Amino acid sequence: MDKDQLIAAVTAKFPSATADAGVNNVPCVLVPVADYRALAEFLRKDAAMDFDFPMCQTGVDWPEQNTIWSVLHLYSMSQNHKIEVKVALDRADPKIATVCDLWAGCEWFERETYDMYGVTFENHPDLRRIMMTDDWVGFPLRKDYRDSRIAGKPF
Amino acid sequence: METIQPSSPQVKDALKTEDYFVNMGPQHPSTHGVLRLVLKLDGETVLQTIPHLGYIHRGKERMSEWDVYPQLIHLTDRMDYLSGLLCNWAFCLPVEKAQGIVVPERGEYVRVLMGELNRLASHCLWFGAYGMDLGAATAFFYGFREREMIVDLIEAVTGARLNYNYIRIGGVPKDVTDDFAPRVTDICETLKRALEQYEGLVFKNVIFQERTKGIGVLSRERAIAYGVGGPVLRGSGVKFDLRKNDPYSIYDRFDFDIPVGVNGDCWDRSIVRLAEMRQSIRIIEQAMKQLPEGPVMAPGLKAIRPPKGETYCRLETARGDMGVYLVSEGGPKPYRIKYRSACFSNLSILPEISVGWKIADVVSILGSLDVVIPDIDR
Repeated sequence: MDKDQLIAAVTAKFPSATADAGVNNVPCVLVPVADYRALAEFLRKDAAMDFDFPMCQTGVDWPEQNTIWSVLHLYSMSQNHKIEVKVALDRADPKIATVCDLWAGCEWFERETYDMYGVTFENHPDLRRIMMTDDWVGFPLRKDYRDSRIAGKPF
Repeated sequence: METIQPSSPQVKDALKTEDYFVNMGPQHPSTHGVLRLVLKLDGETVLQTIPHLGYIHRGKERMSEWDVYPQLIHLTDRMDYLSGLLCNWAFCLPVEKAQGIVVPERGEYVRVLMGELNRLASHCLWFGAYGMDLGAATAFFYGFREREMIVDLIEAVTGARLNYNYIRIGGVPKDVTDDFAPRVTDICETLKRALEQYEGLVFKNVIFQERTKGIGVLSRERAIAYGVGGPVLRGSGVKFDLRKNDPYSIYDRFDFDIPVGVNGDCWDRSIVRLAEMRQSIRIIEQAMKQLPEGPVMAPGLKAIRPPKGETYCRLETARGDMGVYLVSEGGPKPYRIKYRSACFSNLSILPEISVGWKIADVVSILGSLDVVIPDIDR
């Protein structure tokens, strides 16, 4: 499917989703957090979608809008198309459903997002810090994170 | 007196085994760096593997928010340091895509040539190190003999042997040296002979075969679900190479095959790497024939300021699928960069495929995944 067809198919099924064409042939879909899990299941299980390969899952911090994005990039081996699924989460209490039962590779990606941004993935089987030590305080990739090691660096 | 039979319940009770934990690493030669694996064992048999990452986590994603784009390329060298050129390239791709920079023809060819040479050097080192992991110390000297020739040539062109910082936004900073063509021919011819030696020395060795065949089987479905890439994915029988299936740069101009395995065991991952080296030589030979004249750097590049938006690009490094996710706010520095590294995903299958094997097999499996720890931790 080319990206216009992908956007049409997703927005027809999920009217709450907004989509833009994105760069580099990756259509970008923004969904409310309540629809995220249903959309993920649709993308994984629908035969025309068949997104079987997890490319990337990460976060982006936006302190001014008081949101943290959860960004999921998917690829389909059979259909050779890509999609980006974005969810804007509340920065004070970022919570989102896990998708690691659909794409096993997301288990570690989500652990890293939890570690770096403090996003809680509900129903994740093993939500521990992955890079930092278990007793680390704070979430290092949040824009307002400070500690003595990086004092004096521009932010 | 009553005789106790070995099969009696009393004896079985008295001789029952107990699970215990062993730390493998963080300082262990076969983990190729600082990776710590906690192994839950029953005797010699692995019941569970728990990888602990982060021993060399340097926060490169945070560091990438501090500097302007051209000053970030050197950070990527130090992720997958065995194929640093390809990591440089992976960083430059989304920046060029977002800002619409077109790399000159000769620049693209030099990138392909140097990138494939770097891939060959990386696989040569893997061959040596894997042989060493499995107790064949001779393989190490053979692998490094050819790697030395390649690294010497890369040094002549880029000025560095490991951390190149050679692929820049818009092309490459310097053209190749005058004696580049004969040296590349020499390397290709030497490598073709050397690969036969590698096969005879290691791959036909019965100990190597016993240590790799049937060990650590990764099925096709699980490989895709975990998002692994490169020779690990192809070893599981998935005919997928980003250079062919999602081509970037000028890879669609070359004729080469995608070698695949059948069973997805350590043996298949190994022979796929060896076969891949032959394909890299084919690409290099074709690129040398087609190499056009002209500039290697896009002219008139002053400010690197990708417009506001998100870009995701991916590239086939020596270890698999490396992606860079760039969020720009239109400024001279990135707002956010995510490095999706190949080794991170490739290692994430280890807990699944190492269960039920012996400790020595974990070494074999880990070696066949060819992980580079700084690439995992970033």
